[in-house]
Amino acid sequence: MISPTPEQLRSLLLHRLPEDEAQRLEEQLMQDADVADLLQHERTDLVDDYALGRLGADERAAFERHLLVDPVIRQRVKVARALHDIASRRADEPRLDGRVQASSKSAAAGKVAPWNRWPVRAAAVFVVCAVAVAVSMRVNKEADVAPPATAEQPLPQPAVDALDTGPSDVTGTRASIVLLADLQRGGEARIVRVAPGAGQVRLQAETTSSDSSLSYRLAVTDESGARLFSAEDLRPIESGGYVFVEALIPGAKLGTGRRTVTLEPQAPGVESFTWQVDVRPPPN
Amino acid sequence: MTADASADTSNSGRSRELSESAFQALLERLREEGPSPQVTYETLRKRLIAFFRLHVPTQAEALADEALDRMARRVHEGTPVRNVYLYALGIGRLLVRESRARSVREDTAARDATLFGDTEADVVAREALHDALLACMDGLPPDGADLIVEYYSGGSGVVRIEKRRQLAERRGLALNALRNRALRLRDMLENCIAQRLAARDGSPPPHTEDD
Repeated sequence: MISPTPEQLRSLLLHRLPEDEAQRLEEQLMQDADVADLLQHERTDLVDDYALGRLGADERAAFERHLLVDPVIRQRVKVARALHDIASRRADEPRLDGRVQASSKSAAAGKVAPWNRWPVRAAAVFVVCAVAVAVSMRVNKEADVAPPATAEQPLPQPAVDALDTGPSDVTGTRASIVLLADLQRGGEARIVRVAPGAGQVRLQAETTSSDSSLSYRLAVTDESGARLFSAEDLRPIESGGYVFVEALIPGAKLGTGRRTVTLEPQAPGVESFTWQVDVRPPPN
Repeated sequence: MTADASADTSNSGRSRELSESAFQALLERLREEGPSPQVTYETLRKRLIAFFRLHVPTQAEALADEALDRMARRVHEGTPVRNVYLYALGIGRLLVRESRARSVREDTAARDATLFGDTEADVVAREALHDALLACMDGLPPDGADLIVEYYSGGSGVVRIEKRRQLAERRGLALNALRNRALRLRDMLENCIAQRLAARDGSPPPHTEDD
């Protein structure tokens, strides 16, 4: 019996196979233990891809229709996002806080990386941090190593889900806010916490076109419509399955309060995006 | 197989206890499949659950049990079953059809349920999940946390395939062996998280895909 390919299994999971092929695979599933393992493996990759926004529109819709009805899968999606967050923090670890690693007893003892020490929840008001409590936002922190005054810069890591506020004893941390294209959602504002005195906030806004020849204009306005920040000629960046444009916004300009972020292509016939954001200081 | 299985539709909706004699008859038939009929029974059940997860995920385990009950009754009645796996699948397909006919379509607003909002309860839930994840990663076998992070953070598509190939090479493992190890670790991790969250909420541990 020939093992099914990952593509076939993925199509089976998403109910996109012709009936006869689906039935043949189901028969293999019942009679071959390896196929059950392969299917579970593919389901895990599919959950990860959904959780991290890597699926195309059709696959995403099929996933939501056929898999997401299962509470177990919904929980797995949450875990996948949290796991991805940990992986991204780990990738940033040496740059973010070398002291934690250097003094780690478990690391010195040759044990696994000190996972438990990572989520040091920042409460200190002098820490520049952002917590994207909103569903539409993802936060990625990295050490503030001489941020360039450019509005366009590729990321070392794909954006990750927001979880907590990061090490409390790191000063000069720059926050990144990611706005996902499919989560603009009406007029509901998403809360973002930015500490007073934040130097720069990296804002990444997802687009649906990866056409690198396109340029975008990004603007932030306050409730009265007054323009607080704008940047033009932003080129899309592709990273980790996302396509986004990016701008560095001075924290002082962002301020606090309800903000509207707009992303408009500098060409006709291409979709534009609008997000509502409520910028607040961190809770005490 | 199909004709025999079709006869089971008459039992649709009934939840009869499997009689001891029917169960023994099924075990007797399963003895022909290998030295341990109990092991074959569990294998059949696991595969049926995998099948039902494709079609009726929220009822996968209950339907797997129902399929085995029906199969036992048919065997007990003297129905010849040439291939137990395909016979079980035939019953499974009927159960899927019955289940779909019964059930009201579930709302795909489920998508929102995978996302954390900005309410206080959501913030607490998100932190609880994060804490559970970290604690459970600490509890994995040595090197397990490293492996799981590396294996599942390789992007998508061909990039993911290539990174996993390189990882297997570095660890001196065949790709299949690495895949199975990562999958086992991921199952352990997710089961651990489910247990911790259930303990925190004071609720019984939920079913996981590894059950």
